[in-house]
Amino acid sequence: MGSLTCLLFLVLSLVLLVHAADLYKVLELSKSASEQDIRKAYKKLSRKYHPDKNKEPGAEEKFVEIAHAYEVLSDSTKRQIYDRHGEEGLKAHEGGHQHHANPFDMFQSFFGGGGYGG
Amino acid sequence: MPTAIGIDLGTTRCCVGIWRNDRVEIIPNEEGNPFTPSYVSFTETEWLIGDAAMRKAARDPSNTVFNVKRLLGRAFSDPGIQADIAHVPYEVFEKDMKPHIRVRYRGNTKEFSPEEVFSLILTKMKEIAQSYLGSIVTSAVITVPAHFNLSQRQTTKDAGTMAGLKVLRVLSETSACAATYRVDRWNARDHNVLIFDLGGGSLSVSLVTAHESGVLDVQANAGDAHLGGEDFDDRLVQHFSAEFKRNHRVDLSGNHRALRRLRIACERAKRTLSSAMKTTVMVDGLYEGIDFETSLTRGSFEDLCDDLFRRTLDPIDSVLRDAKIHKSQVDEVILVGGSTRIPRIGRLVSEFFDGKELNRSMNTDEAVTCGAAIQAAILAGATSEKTQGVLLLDVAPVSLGIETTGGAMTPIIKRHSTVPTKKSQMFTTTSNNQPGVFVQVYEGVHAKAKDNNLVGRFVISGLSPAPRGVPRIEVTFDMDANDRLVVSATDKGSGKSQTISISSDVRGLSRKEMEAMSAEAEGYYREAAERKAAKKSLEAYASSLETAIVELQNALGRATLLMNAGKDISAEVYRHRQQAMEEAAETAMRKLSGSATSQQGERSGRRVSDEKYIRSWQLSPV
Repeated sequence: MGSLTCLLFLVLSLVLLVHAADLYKVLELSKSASEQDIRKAYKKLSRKYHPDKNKEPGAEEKFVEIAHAYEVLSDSTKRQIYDRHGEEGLKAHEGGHQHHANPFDMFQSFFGGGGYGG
Repeated sequence: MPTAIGIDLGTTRCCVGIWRNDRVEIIPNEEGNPFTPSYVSFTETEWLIGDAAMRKAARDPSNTVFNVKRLLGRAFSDPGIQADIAHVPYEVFEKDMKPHIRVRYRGNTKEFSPEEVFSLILTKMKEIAQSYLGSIVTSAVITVPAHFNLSQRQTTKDAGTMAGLKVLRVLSETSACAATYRVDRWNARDHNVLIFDLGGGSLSVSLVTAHESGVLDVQANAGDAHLGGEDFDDRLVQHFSAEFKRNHRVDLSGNHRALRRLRIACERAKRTLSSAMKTTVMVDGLYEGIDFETSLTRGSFEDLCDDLFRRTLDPIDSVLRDAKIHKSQVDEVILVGGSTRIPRIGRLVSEFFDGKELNRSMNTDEAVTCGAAIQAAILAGATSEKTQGVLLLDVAPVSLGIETTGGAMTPIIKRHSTVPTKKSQMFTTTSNNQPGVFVQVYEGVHAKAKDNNLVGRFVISGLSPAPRGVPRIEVTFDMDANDRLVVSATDKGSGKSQTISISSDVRGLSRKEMEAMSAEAEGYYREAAERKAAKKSLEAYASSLETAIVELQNALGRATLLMNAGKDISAEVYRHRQQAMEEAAETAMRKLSGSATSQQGERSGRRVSDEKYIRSWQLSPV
């Protein structure tokens, strides 16, 4: 049983690692790439795939991916979040305010926000 | 290769150029001028454009149209528009919520939209290019101020299409300057360039990182739609009208012909003061034979416009802030636009950058046209060594997003995102068993959706009943390099989805569309809504009953405490407690009955207005 949990954990962390490598792969870089490498790769790939330079179908989608990867990896905070928690972590970070269903909303709407003091 | 030209469509004048033989040629008009005034004059026999129209402005002010760029793609209710209308001698009226122009043409009254007027000017520019080149011109890049939003860019594009041009790109003026800079002066290192473009009608400021490889990465844009040479002229006209009134007890306001002539004299004086320290403003027979003659020093011109001049620094501040770059990291400051000839402007900008020397190497008047021509050549597929390396990575001019709970604007594509771009975000419902979602797309930077510009809206109905917060609706914004925006929303539960592409003619739904939409939803909603309303009413009553019970229990508890407290308590305290209990009971009962009536009110209200009902299908970020 213990070994199964262990295996599951291993698989999960592998999945995470593979995921985290995606944006680097888009820029054709390794995870240890420096800021300068990232900038260089972005400029090089934009020239190759930007729709102004490349009219092939699919080039625009490719550029959108490249620009997104650059947007994340060129920002040290976003890069850190991405390295640790992947794309999902980034989404949570970007979304910011989480909206929870509030059980008190109902009272407020029925009592005109008057609350229920005693 | 198709012939593609670059057109600088200015507030006060236009300029056209073409990339040929490894350089940009600025094309002169039939009078030999590189610049064509953005004026259209309507007469009994024809319409005139450019120099000929401008000459008519003083003689026939109500039929000579100018400064139309300030009306382009904006709502009539815009306070800025109202101020502009007060300044022009021709008639501007409201049609379909947008400003339109009414003139006399060939003996009839004729109405024009701003884009129609622009299409006349663009046709003229196309003809100028065709007669110079001796060939048919098919496509163009047209420039606009960097702060123009999607509607304004789309309207500009429409004007180009009406003029029979394939618009390859609507390009920000400052981005065009960046392209010119890149081709003119190749610099083998990365550096930050700030472009300050102060023209006749508006100010645009951009921060661009020029990469040694030839990539131009626009970082941020800012601007002022109402700050330029025309505003400085206005100041002088106001000043001298007041002087004329003091000296001759004659009010010139309303006398368009006199004001027009005074304005021409003021503009000439302003230009002279860029090199001279003092000049004379002179108009013969300004009003009923009274000549006007006075002197103006550079110092008093600077004093009169001091606040306007200082305002030119605000966009620099905001560009640096948005690009997260300190002013000391700016390697080059480039001044373009006719109004940067004013010495005081140059001094202010230089002082802002701690005395930095400004780059005035670019042709102030032609830099934008050159950039447009370069970009036109690139997009048309020209194979020139000089332009080949240039790639302009431009940005979304405004934030684009949707309205969410409480009327908030939730941006999906943030301002200054590099385009093309595609962004998605997950949303959910805000009430239980919400049968659909109403997606309203806005552009702008304000936190409240209603303060931004509505560019489109649509509904997804037929959501499977679910508690609020459970459904997953993915909203995707897809924007290409030509500012074409496609918005789609998909309900992950039912797989239902809707897609709209935003163009200037999809600006909001008409009442009819709204009715159709609500009819479509009706079949589902009647059943679901009734069930939902009944359930909600029961829930509400139960919960208010619960609250009332809690309140009464509290009151009861306090009374019990008092009754068990012993003999030292006075009659007064007992009476006081009983009074409090009676009040608590009364309040609880009142609340109960109140909640029941408010429920009924809501139900009947819903039947009255489907539109209001659909509007309640709000979204909230997950």
